[in-house]
Amino acid sequence: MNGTWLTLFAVGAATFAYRLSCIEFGSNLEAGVLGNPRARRLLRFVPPAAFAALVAPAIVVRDGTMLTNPLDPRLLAALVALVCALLTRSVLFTLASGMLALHAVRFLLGG
Amino acid sequence: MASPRWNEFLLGVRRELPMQLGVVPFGMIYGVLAVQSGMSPLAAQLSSVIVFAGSAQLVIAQMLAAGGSPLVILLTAIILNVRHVLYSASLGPHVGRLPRRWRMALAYLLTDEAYAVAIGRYVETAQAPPQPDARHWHFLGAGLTLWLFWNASTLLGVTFGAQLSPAWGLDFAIPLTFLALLVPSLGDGPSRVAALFGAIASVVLVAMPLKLGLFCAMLIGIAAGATWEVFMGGAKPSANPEGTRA
Repeated sequence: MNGTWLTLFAVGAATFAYRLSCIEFGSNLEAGVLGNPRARRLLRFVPPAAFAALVAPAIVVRDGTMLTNPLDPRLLAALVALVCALLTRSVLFTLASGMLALHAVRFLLGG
Repeated sequence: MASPRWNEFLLGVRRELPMQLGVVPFGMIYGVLAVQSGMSPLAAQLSSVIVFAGSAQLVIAQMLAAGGSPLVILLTAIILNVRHVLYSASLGPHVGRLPRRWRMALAYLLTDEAYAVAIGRYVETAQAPPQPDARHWHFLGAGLTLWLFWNASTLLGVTFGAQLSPAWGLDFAIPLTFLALLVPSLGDGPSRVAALFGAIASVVLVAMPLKLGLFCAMLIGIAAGATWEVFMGGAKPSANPEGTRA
């Protein structure tokens, strides 16, 4: 039993608790925390804040320092993928365009 | 065989099936990336059973690879998955009176895609509920279908994942996946502010130990979006035609 399994069971239990919460205690929670417009407003910002925080460092931080090369293959590929994501809203097409762009740029820049 | 329960179940399955076009590639991507980021194939597969939430599973894989501690990963996943409370709140009035085994099973199966199908059935029949009411079988059909496809596609990805070369840069697919998930959430000004601050903070705080920077950046982004909305008056519901989902 190592950290991986501990993490999986803990996140699994937390996620199940979320899903069960209002099914079990529905009326109480809805009248309380979730009926509060401020709470709803905060919840609305979870996806943009969370996903942006996951994306940014993976693209502009390399080996613990900020990227200084504007022609970095991953940076350029991320821009291509961003345009594709805006146009298609598809995970599959975004991934395909980003990966293709990464390898195209690497090839062109002789990486 | 044509009982109301069976009919509802099949209808739920049928309505869930088209969504698998998006679920299957995502499941395969997850399976490949989990193995590439160092999870054992067994852990990668069972994550789809135990956690059963795609973006949280990707975060776990990514943070484990980066040396995040279990506690910080849990905190991060708790923020990322908080939307499930809203699904639960939305479906609670419809399924809250079912027997316990039903409540447990349906809660376990309550994902983004199953929610969409289940709530759709409750809404469309709100005026004239079927007699006897077997709509929870509709929910069950949708949920089980998604579970099956998610786990089967994970298995495909896990199976292929170990054979793919690191030279292909497949680890780059993780941020790309999150980028694809990010874009539809940028519907209005305050949401974009939340994303901008989340992004900046996560870069600035990247050196924090235990991957705590990610957790803090999420909180900062959420606070920034809410602050912007309060002070800049972002509440213009109809002013965003481009913000609607395709």
